[in-house]
Amino acid sequence: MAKDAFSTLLGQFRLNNNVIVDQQRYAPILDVLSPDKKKEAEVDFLQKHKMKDYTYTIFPCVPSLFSAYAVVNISLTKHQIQTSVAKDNFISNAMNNISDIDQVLQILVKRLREWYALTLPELEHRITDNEKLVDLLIHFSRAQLMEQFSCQETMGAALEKDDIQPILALAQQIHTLYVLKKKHTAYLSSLLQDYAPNTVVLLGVELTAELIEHAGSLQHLAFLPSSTIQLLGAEKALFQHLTQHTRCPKHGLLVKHPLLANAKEKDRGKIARHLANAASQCIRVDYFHGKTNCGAALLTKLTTIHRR
Amino acid sequence: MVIQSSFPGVYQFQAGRKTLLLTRNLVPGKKVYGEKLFKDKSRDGIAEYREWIPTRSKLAAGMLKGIRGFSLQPGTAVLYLGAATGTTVSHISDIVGKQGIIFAVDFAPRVVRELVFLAEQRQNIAPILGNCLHPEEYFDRFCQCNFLFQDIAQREQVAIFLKHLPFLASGSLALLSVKARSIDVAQKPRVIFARVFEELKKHVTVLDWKTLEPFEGDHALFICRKL
Repeated sequence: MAKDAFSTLLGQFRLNNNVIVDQQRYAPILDVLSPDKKKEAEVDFLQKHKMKDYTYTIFPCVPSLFSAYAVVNISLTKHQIQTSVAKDNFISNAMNNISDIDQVLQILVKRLREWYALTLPELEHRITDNEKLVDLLIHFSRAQLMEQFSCQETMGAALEKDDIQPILALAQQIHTLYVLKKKHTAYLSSLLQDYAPNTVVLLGVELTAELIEHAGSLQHLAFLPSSTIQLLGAEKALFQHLTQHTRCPKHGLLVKHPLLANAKEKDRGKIARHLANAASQCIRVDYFHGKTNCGAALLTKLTTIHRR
Repeated sequence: MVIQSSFPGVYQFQAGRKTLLLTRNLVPGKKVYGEKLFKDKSRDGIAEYREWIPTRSKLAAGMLKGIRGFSLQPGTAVLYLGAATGTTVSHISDIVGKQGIIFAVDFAPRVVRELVFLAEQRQNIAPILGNCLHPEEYFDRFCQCNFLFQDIAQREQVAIFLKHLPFLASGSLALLSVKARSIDVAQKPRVIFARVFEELKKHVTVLDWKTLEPFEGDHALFICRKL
C-alpha cells in the first residue's frame, strides 16, 4: 500500500511506497520486550501521524535496515537464551555428571588397585568395595593394613617413600571424586524433590531424572501420552517393530523400576502399562503444581496389586 | 584451481575424482564447523574459500545431485527455518554477503547459542529463537524475504513450509528439505516424496526435486518458486 504504518521489532515506521518516511526506534533495544513501553511507543507514533491503526502484514524488505535487524535480533535472542536456563538443564547436567564420575572412577580405581598391588597384592582380593579400599589406603599404612588383614608375610615389595607417595596422591584424588559424587547425588535428589515430588516418590530419583532428560523437560513429559512414557528409551525396538514387524517392546527406561525388575515374565507388559499410567499422572500433577499427593497413593496401589 | 560452478556464488574444486563445492569466506581465516579452507588467486588478490561438505549440508548435497533452479544473489534477504548451529547458514551467509541478511530460526536454546556467536562474527545473520509451528509468535522479528530455506525434521514440515510462504515476495525461491522418516517412519520414502510433491504443487511452482543419497538417506530437496 502507498502510505503504511508498521510496528516491528526495531520500532515504528511510516513508509511511502517502501521508502521510510519516518521512524521511531526503541532505545534501549530491549524496550520492545516491555508491553507497557511497546504500547506507549505504538500509540504515540499513530497519534503523531494521525493514523488509525498499523498494517499487520509482514514488514517490507528495506535493505538499509538489515544490519539493524541483525543487531536487535542478536540482543533479543541473547535475552531469550538467558531466560531459558531452567531446572531441567541442572537435572540433565547433574545426572550426566554422576554417570561420568562413575566411569572415571572405574578407570582410576582399577589403576589404583594395579599400582598398590605392587606393595600389598593380598589386599586386592580381600577388599572388593572400591570406596572402602580407597578409604583404607588413605588412613592406614602398609604395616597397619597387614595387621588388620592378618597378613604375616606378603609378596609385595617394600616401596620407598617417593614411590608410595604418588599412589596415595591418586587415592586422595579418587576420594575427592567420591565426595563430589555424593554431593551431586544429594543436589540432584533435592532438585527433584522440589521439582517433581510425586514422580520421585513413585519412580525414585534416578529414574525420574532419566525420564526428564530423555524427554528434554518436565513440560514435554507432561504432554506426552502415557503409552509414549512407557516406551521412552525403547526407540530402537519400537521402530524395528513398526518397520520390520518384530514384537512390540513392553517398556523402555521404566524397566529399571523395582516393580518391573522383579516381575514375572507374563506380568511385565501389564505392570509396565500400569506403571506408565501412574507415572504420567504424577508427572502431570507435578508439572501443573497440583496439591494432591498422588505419588505415594499410586505406589501403594501398584505394589499391592502386583506383589500378590 | 578454484573455478565458478553452475550455481552463482558457489565455486568448485577438483580433488582427483571428487568435485568439492566451495563458497567464498566472508570472514577469512575463520572456520565454522571444521571444514577445509582453500586459497586461490582471484581478481582482488588472494581469495579464501570454505569447503561446503555435502554430508553436513542438504543444500550442498542437492547441488552435487544436479538440482536445477537454485540461484542465490548477493544482497538477498533469506528466511532460514531450522538453522541449528549454522552449518548451512554460514555458506548462505558467504553467498549473500555483507549486503544481504539471513533470518535464522531454530527452536533449541542450546544450538541457537552457537548461532549467536556465528551471527556476531559475520554480521549478516539475525538469530531467532522460535517455534516454527507458530510463526505468528516471531514474524515481527524479520522483514519480507526473497528466499526461503527449510530443514526441519518434523511430521508437519510441509505445513510449516506453507505457513511461511506469505512472508516471501512474489517470485521468490523456496527450498524445502524433506526427511521422509519424520513424516512417516514406516512408509516408503518415494511414496512420501510423491505426496509432498502433490501438496506443494497446489501452492507453488515446483521447479525440481532430487533425493539426496548417498549424502543423506531418505531425504529429498525440493526447489519451488512462489507464485
